This record gives sequence, C-alpha cells and structure tokens, in this order.
Amino acid sequence: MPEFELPVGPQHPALKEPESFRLKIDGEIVVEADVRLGYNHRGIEKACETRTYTQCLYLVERICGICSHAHATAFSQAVEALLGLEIPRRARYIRTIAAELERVHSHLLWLGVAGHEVGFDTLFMYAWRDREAVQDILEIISGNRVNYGLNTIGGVRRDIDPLQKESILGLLEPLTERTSYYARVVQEEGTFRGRVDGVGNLSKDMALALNAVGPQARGSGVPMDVRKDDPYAAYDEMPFKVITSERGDVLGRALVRVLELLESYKIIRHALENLPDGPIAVKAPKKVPAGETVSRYEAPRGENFHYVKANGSETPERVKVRAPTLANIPSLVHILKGAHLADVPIITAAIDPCFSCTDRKLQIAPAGGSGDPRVMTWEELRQYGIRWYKDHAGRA
Amino acid sequence: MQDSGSRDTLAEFFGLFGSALEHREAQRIWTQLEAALVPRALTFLKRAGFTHLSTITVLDTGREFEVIYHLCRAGHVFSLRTCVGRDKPRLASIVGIFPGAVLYEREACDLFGLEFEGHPDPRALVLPEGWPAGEHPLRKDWRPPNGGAQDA
Repeated sequence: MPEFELPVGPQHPALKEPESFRLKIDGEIVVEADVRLGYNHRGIEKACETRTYTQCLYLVERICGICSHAHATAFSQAVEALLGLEIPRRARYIRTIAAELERVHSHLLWLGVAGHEVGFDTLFMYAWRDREAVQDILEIISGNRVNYGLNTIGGVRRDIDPLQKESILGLLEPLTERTSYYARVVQEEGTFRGRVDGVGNLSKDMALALNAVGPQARGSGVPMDVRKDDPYAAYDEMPFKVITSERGDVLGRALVRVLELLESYKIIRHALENLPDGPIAVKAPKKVPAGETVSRYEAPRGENFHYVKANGSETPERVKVRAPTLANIPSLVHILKGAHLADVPIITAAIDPCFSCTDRKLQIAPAGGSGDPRVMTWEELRQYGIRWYKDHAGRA
Repeated sequence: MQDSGSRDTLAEFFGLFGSALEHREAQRIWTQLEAALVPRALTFLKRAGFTHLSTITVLDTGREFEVIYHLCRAGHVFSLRTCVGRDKPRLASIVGIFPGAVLYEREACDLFGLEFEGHPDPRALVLPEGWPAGEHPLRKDWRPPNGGAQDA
C-alpha cells in the first residue's frame, strides 16, 4: 500500500489546544511524524523586555493555565537570586503547598484526559469530579481556581490561616482515598490497561538521549526530578519519593503520575502540619542589579527552565522560558514512528502536552484590525455575565 | 552525585579548554569559549555526565549574539557561552551531540536568525507560514511590521 500523509490538527489533536501533526502512514502504521508548533505564540519573552519585574511576574504566570504557579515561581526564584534575597521559610512552605496542589490538579486532569482518549469516559468523569476538590482548595488559599497570583518577588502574597489549614486537610482525605482507587484502576482495569500496555515505547536510553523530562522520562526509568536533584522552595525539608517506572510505555507514564499524586498529598499534609511561623514575604527593591541566572522547577509536566538577565534597571534585559512540553516533543516524535494510527491520540496525550507553554513568544498583530478593545469594570462584567446567562437560559 | 567528582570534572574542563570561570553560584557554573571549541567542549561535558541539555538561550547584546548552552547533571547546571558576530551569525549545529537540541536550534534560527551548520531539519519552527524572511522578532532592533499596533 502506498504511503500517504495525514494531517492532524491544528484543531484539537489531543487536548483542547492547537497543534499540527503531519503523519506519514503506511496502512495503519505511522512511518513518519512531524510536529508544527507556533499556533499559540503570544510574544511573552519579547513583552517581558518592556515590563517591570512585577508586571513580568503576572505575565509569565499566564504562559499556561495549569502550570501558572510553576512559571511564576521559576521566575520569582530567578529574580530573587539576582537580588540576593532570601525569602522567609513560611513563604517557601506556602510555595511548596501551591506547587503540589497544582501538580494534583494537573495530574488528575491528565488522568481524565487519558481515560477519554482510550474511550473510558467513566474514568474521565470520576477524575474530573475529584479535580474539583483541588480547585476548591486552591480557591480557599488564593481566591482563584487558576492563575493563583500567589507569588511576589520576595515571597508570597497570601497566608494560610489555621481554619483554612483544617478545611484543606479535610478535603485531602477523600482525594487520597480516590487516588488509591485510581492506582488500582490504572493497573487492573482491562478497559484502560488494554489500550496502554506496551503502547508508545520509549527506552531509557532514548529518553536520556532526547532529553525528555518529567513523567515522560520517569516513566522510562530515568530518575530525574528537579525537586530532588536541585531542591527549591521547601522541597529539601519534604518527605517524598521520586516515582519511576521501568516500563517505558504509556502505562508506565500513567503509573508514574497516579503514584506521584499520593506523594503530593504527603507533601501537602507535611507542609501544612509543619508550617513555620513568621512573615510571608520580604520587601524587594524595584531595580535589579546587573547579572544573569537560571532557575529550574519541576512542573507537573517536567523540568521548567527560566533564564533571566538583568541590566540594573526595573525591566529585565532578557527572559527565556523553556517549558517542559517543548523538551518532550523530540521523544514524542520518536515514539509516534511505528505506532498504530489509532494509538496516536493516547501517545500524544501521554506526554501531557501543554502547547500554550510551548508556544509563548511571538505576538502576531495583523495589519488593519478594528482597534476597539472593550474595557469593563468588574461590576459591568458581572452584570454582563448575569444578563448573558438570563438571555441564553435553557439554550446551552 | 559527589561534589568532589564535580570538582575534578571542572578542573579537567578548565585545563583542557583554557577558559575562565565567569561567575559561580552554588551548583551553577558559567564559562565562555570561542565557537569553534563548543562541539568538543559539549562532547567532553556529555561524557562527564552532563547528559541533559536543558535548553539553549540566545541573547542579542547589540554587538553580537551570545549563545548559551545549559547542561545539567542532577542539580548542577553548566552554562557554556559562545559569541557569534551579528553580520554572519553562523555556528555549528550540536544536534549530532545532543539530538534533543533539534528544536532549540530551530527556535533560535526563527527568533534570532542564527544559522546552524549541519542542522538536519532547519525549517521554521514557531513563526507562521508566510512570515517575511529576515524578520527575527527577538533581536533587540526588531520592530513589528505595523509599528506594534494592537488590533482588538
């Protein structure tokens, strides 16, 4: 049978984000795979060069809707290193709690998507229902379900009081129980296992050679985790294991994520119960002395890498971000080759791709726009929302 | 990883390549080499356990481009810097040494207009189809074609 090229995307190739895959297929088998990036470029690195450090913090937080704390923390750490600031121990703990809540949010979301991709929508419904509990916790702490705005240069902006602590600990109980159940489902349920066992094989050697990160690397037996290797926030004081699997297939990646959830609950519990007293932030100067530094962070999808260069002014000279998905695309392309066409969605989903993170830099402003952005006050927006839902009642 | 092992690697590196330590924070090493020595230096570092290329950062200083290779060995980050002239920004591709560099070089090619000799697949990565040739948005002197006007 002659080979032919099958374009997939850019609309929703796996998750609800744009990316384009060109697959050369021979019958059912993928012989060549190519990824076209760039559909989500927003000019963030360039934009950082014209904004103050504080403005940049809020901008990088919006690189991604899920790993928002990951980018904000990586950036804060870099700027604090340039300033020579030591942040309070309580702030390091609160950053750690938010980081792990974000990981739980992300991994549960992934588990649901993985269930959906293999046609096991019950798992999707279950996992996403449980994910609501984590978002409630994030809302308790920060007031927001996404983009928590928790960080500031020099610490965190919101404290956790004893009452909040109790309600968070209460919400963690059922989550731990549910996750232990998912660990059994992933390993024992034929509906799931049958679609991921031996699918999308990535050997340890290839994972290392292609510089894979996060669960993609750990699922192939590479014990790489920035939280252990290069501890930041309060990870040097947290009890947790780095989860790896020697399987190297999609099942291995799924196991790593589910078992990591249980480690995350352990970290959150420990951090809450041992939350040190003291201030949550120190005052940071607006101007950052000339210098350069790198900052690493273990985001839910793997190593997140920020480079910041300061020139002595209030705006950075250069901000460079390498989010984990970009690092995992070479190994994804490698494992797509030889895969069955029907397995492409789950193999792609198994790197837990985040294309907003991957595409982040360039702003395309086509000539001839209408130029009338609407500005609303919070109250106007609220009224607009109420009106819209009244008008559209029963039509959704 | 043993810290003494790290010190030995560094001593050997600086002996072999004759470069100087630029500045050093805990677990962070920064140095600079001329472009011709970069492939050999990266091969040396990879053999010494710096097997993870985190990314490649490019800076536009106005006079030249600085290209920084960030290599990791567990918690240590070795940042190797080299400079290329703005008039002829060409340097050797390192994809042969670090296959994981394939997208980082393509990205630098798009956004800074660097040329990587020997890159197996030098197509545009992030810029859209129909983007004008010679426009590299992360260069400091780059201005958006329509003067940066925002459209709603």
